[in-house]
Amino acid sequence: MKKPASTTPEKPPSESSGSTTRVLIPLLGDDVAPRFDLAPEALIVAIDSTGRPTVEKSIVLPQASAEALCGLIVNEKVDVVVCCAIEEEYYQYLTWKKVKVIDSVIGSYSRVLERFVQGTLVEG
Amino acid sequence: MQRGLHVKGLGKLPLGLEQILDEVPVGIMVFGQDRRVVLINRALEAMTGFLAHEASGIPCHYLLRSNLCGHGCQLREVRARGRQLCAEANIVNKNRQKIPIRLTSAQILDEDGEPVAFIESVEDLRSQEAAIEGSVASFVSGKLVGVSHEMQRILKIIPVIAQTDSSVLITGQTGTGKDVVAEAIHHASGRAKGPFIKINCGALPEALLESELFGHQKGAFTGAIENKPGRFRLAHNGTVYLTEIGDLPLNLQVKLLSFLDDKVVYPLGSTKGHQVDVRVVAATHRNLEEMVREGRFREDLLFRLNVIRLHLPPLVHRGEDLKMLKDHFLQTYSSRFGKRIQTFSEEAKHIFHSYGFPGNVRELRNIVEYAVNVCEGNQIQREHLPAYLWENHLHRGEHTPADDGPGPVRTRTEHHRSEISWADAERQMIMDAMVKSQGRKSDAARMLGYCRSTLWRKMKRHGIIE
Repeated sequence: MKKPASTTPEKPPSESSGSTTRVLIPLLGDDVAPRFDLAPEALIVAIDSTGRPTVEKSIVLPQASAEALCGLIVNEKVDVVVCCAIEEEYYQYLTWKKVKVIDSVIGSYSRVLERFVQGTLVEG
Repeated sequence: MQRGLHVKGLGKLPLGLEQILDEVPVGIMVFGQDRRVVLINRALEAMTGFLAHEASGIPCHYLLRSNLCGHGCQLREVRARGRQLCAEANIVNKNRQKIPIRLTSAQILDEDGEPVAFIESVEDLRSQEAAIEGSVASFVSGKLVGVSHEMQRILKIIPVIAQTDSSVLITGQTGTGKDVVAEAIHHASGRAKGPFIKINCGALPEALLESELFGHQKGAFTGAIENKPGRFRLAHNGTVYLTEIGDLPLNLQVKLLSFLDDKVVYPLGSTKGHQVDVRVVAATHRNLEEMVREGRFREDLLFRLNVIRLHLPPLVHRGEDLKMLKDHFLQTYSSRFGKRIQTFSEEAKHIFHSYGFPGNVRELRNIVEYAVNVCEGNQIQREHLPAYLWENHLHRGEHTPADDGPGPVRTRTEHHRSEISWADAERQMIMDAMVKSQGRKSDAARMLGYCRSTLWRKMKRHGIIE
């Protein structure tokens, strides 16, 4: 994974809300899906206050759709979405729904989570 | 960018392949058998938003991010059939824009006929999709909608302006469609296949803006760890759109002036200039002549930019367009949100026609979007409109459409508004909404037809919050 490294680190999850942070990653295989709207799967991970990630569920989407994924994110009360390409419309919608979106992230989900927990995962 | 890929026989020394590909106006990507990017040209940098050094070595699907990546990847077929394939697709770039493209993929064979790499060309199809659709009774040009005399004049002149290479200055109040007109000029011009690069001169601090516009040399300042080409170089063979030009700091005005004179870009920290071929379109809602008088804008820069001037009328001066735009947005949002709303009630129409729309078309669009969201039936009623519209309307009392007569609608509120600046009016509007919502920002945002983040931004701009 090349992208996550950067200069302005994200706030580590332990500082974010004081309790569990729910992170959703749209997947293609074991990697972050190149497109948010075309992801066939999504992974929801809970990160507790000590920074320990626990995979809560892996959801196979019946049909790849940005609207369906946004609905899932809101219903599942996800705090952070880590994805690669996302259209402005959905980015704005999720931000409006107070979901933090970290986009243009590439690589395997395990590496992405590792960087997220370390607080070194950033957009682009 | 990969070093060592050279083409021999063009000069005394072998020429870098990237130098040659940078001159091609179509996006080009070369990648190895492992599908990791080896090089991309400048046109693809502009299209995807990723620089060559960022793209180098990453899997191709993470750079292109097309709808074919994944299950529809045509490289398998290219490899199996051994010939090039072409398909129409779309990509989502770093700026989160969806761009329709034509993707052509082919194999590169070595001397023994063995495949060693792939090459893909990525053609931007936005200009074709934005082709002008004319009709007898109305004008709908790409994203521009209007039947009024003022808009007909502008719609007719856009193709004429597009054919020249002169600088264009677009003026008009906020929300009148300056960005849309700039894009329409680009798409109607011979540069349509080149990049359209938008730069908001008011969005970045001076130091960052200079590096963003003109690029920088590695080591020019702390943190400059790579060479950066800058937006002007990325827009080579295309159009640079400088929005909020009135907010450009004086120092950069001098540098822009020098660029407009000789079309040579000198990146920060470099003595070597780069010749670029771009057309400059600038826009502002500010009165540049007044700024010149106050010494806040250079007169010579104004003269350079003011070769062709387009002034976009506020919505209140586009009488007949209000109905058309209102119906256009109703249709758009109804189908987008899967609703069956067909019309506005008479009362709702009356409210629309007696309102001044200080935020112009953008405000109208936001109001209709809000109303479509709120409305459950098939007709938009008064109560589906943001409260600030109809409450003001009720206070105005006896005003009826019959009082207005034909043509552009003017009310007492508008006359009052014309005497104060838009910034004051907006500030007042926000304050009113905040008072009515007893300080609840979400309620105030809903009343105003803004999203929460827009309200927060505007409140910050007006100094209502820290």
